[in-house]
Amino acid sequence: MIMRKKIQNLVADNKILIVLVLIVIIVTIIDGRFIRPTNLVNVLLHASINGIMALGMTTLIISGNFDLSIGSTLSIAGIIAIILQPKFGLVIPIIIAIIAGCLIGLINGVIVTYGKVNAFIATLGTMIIIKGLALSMNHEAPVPNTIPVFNEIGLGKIGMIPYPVLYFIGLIIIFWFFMSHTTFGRNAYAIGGNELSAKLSGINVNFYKIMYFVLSGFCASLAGVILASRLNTGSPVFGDNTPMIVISAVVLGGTILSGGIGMIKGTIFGVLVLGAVNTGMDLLNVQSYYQFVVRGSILVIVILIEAYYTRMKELGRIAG
Amino acid sequence: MQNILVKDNSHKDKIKDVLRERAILIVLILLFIAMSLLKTDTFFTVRNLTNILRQITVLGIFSCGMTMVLISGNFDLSVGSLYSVCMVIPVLLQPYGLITSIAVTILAGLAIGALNGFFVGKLKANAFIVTLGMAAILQGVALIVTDGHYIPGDPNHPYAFIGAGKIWNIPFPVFILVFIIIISHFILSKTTLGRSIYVTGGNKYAAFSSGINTANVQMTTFAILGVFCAVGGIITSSLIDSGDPFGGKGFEFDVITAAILGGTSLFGGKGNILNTMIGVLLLGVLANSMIILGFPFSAQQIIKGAILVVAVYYDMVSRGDR
Repeated sequence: MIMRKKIQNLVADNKILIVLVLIVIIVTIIDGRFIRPTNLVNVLLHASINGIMALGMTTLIISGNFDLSIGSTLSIAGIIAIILQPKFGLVIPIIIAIIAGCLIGLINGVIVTYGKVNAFIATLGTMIIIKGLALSMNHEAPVPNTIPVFNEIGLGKIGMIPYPVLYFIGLIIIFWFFMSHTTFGRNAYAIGGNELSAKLSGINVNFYKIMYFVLSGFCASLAGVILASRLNTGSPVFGDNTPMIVISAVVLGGTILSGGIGMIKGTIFGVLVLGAVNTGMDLLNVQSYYQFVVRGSILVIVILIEAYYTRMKELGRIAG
Repeated sequence: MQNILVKDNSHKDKIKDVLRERAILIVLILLFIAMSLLKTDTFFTVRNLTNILRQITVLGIFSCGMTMVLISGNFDLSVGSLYSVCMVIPVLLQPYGLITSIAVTILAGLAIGALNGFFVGKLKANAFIVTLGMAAILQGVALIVTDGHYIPGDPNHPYAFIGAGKIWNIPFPVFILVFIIIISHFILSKTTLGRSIYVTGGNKYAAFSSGINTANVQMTTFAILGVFCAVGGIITSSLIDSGDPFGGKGFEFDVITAAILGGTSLFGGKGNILNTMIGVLLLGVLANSMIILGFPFSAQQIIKGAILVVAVYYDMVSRGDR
């Protein structure tokens, strides 16, 4: 009996890990190439760029907010990093791109906290505005990279491991440390769990909420620079599906949309699952139209499961 | 003396109230007058005004449905993709006859809207995210059934009349819009369903406790929106005589902006169809003005986004004042 309970708990705690293993097994049975090291590196690579944004989004959702503008931030950061190259060389444009990302986060945060505007709609609005700015930068056309070294950021490798995977791992360590060992992280849980009691216990709620938005903007612009480096261009069409993919990963990893609950670990498995699904679909030559349907279905199913668990918990609370 | 002062203040407050309540209408009138004076030869012509009317019909139809969904306290990001789907289906079904293609499209809209409503109302899923997922699925469906291509229609098919036809020199879609405005206004202001929609959006628990089936009410609003999306899709595909699998991309923003501009609250429980129509008119006149003034596409995007943020902020402020 105790054994059974233990197994049940083990399954409940590692749902997402089990899903990941199942997907790997199923795709491998269909096509053995999936398990080859080169393909597994592809999975990691796909997971890394989205994962960097998912880390920022996890913190933000835990703190009870939300950011739909990351896709536009990603595209504008890539454009800035490349379009300023003729004037400033390699390094300064990248720094400006990342500062721009932080600034976008700051603006989002101020609108949401001081303007008291619903985060979904505020970031929906800034998403359109930033998209417009990105389009206006080079007359709606993509910008080609002019400095070959710039490619190293995204395409470079140590052994078999591409740099983006290393950035992701680095960020995971930083985020994990901050979320579990500092006030900065604990306050996210406190604010997301119950904003009023967080305020009453002396936390500068507005400041921290804005900081989590800045963090999300930072991650999005970093991902934008890496993506632009990998694809050798900055383009206003990048990032159209990004918010959906990133949110799917975060929620898949067990972070609750209403805030207060979530873990970096879960998000990592979440992006790995999506990475595996995506690479799997590419490997099996699934047409891109069907990929839309698969990605959307994953999001819908995940949200329905989340809603189910939340309802069960509420029922339990009433009954108990 | 004191009395007079008090009176004076209340008078001022009244003017303030009127200004605040009618701000959007005033902006609309000012914009209209300014454009008429600035660009008399291009803006203030029968042709251009008819054009504006034609352009806002679909936006107006969608906004009627979105207003109901917003009043019930929900949200739908999938209308853009549903619009694309409903543009493609009727053109593909043209060979099977007028009635079939229209009926199937409307049924599809109804089914998808009801499905959204089922997820949100019955299964209590977050409306923003679940409709974001549905948007991706529907976009995929539109691409799959057309294989990613523009589907040309048959110009001699009676179907073409719906979008391009005229009665007494007024575009036929305008009649459909007026019909839908009347129905929506009637539902919201004169029926039990309408009152249930307001109560559900105002306070879900109170509504539930007073015996309203809130899940069904929410489902119904989504289903109505779905049907209106189908009507909009039919009109547009008939007008341009083709089905464009990307035709509705981004349209959800315009619809939401129009409804919020019209004073529909994002928090639910507040809003009405006639005010939404003022929002629709403002967006329509603004879009037309920006094109006439030669704004680039990117600038139009930026202005649209800014309007959305300002409108939501305005909604927040006016809510705080009450």
